[in-house]
Amino acid sequence: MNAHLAIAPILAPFLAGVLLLALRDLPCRCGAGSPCPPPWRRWASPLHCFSPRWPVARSLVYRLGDWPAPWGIVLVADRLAAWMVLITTLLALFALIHASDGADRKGRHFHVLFQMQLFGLAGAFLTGDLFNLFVFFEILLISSYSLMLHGGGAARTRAGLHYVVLNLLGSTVFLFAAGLIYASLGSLNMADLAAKAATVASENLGWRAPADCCCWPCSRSRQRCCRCICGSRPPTLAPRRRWRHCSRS
Amino acid sequence: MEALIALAIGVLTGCGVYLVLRAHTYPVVLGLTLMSYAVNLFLFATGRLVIGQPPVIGSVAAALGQLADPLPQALVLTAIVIGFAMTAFVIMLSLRARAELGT
Repeated sequence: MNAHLAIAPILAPFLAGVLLLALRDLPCRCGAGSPCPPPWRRWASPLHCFSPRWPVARSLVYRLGDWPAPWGIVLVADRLAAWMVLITTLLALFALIHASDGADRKGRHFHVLFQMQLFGLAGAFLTGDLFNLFVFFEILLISSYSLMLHGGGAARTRAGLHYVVLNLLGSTVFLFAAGLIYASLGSLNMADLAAKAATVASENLGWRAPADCCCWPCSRSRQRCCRCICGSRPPTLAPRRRWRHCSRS
Repeated sequence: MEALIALAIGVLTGCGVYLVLRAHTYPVVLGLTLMSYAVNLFLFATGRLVIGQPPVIGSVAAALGQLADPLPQALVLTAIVIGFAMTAFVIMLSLRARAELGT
């Protein structure tokens, strides 16, 4: 049971959302204006609040499909991910209690979308794979689009269109970045990337300063730079750690 | 072939950025579609361009180091599906915006 705990914060909102979608015709017969949401809806969210019970000393790694780590997709529940999931869940609980006071009745499927957004958020925090992060991001984004447009209205539609277009552009840039990382490092596993980042081929590092050339940040105060010889153009692509050899003393 | 692929990605991205920067909704949607095509092509090319080799680890070609990387193909498939859903969503949203805002 403990081995499967890492996927529980992802599965619980997903199943809750599917259940809410299937049971949406069965709520209690509240009046439209009465502030009495069905209690099973209100407490559907903290079902996945398992985070305080996780072992904090070591991270929980869950291999989806039991493929070995660099090839398969893993979920990594380290301390940061567990805390982020816990904070998200607490925030979502209070937001849900607030929204249950009538705001969820302005449109359809509010609670389904809310659970799906929690599903995407928990997945984005817990995943250990770069492309899986993109997938969970899209899940939470498409839920947030629908939640933002929840209730309708011209101002909401106008703002929502801008939000959606900007987020789609951001997703495209994210995909370009993920593709570049995969092309240069040959992996998408985050822990594997951290290990392989030191061994990236030198031709993939972008602009490189020659050994006797001064680095760009010092060229503004040339007399203070230790080995400043040339007044080279600003290398915009230079990695930051190349600048370290220039002491400011 | 590398130059052709790179040119296609560049042209698609350029047209997509140009269309996204228009002030109307329909060209923006078209531009987003073109950019998603560009990123799909780009993801496909990240596994290096190999022709006529099986994407199977353990085959004879893989032993020679000449296999097509299967992972970008899976990534492209996922990206196509997600991009399709997002395009459908943004089209519906822009239709609604046209009905409500008249732009």
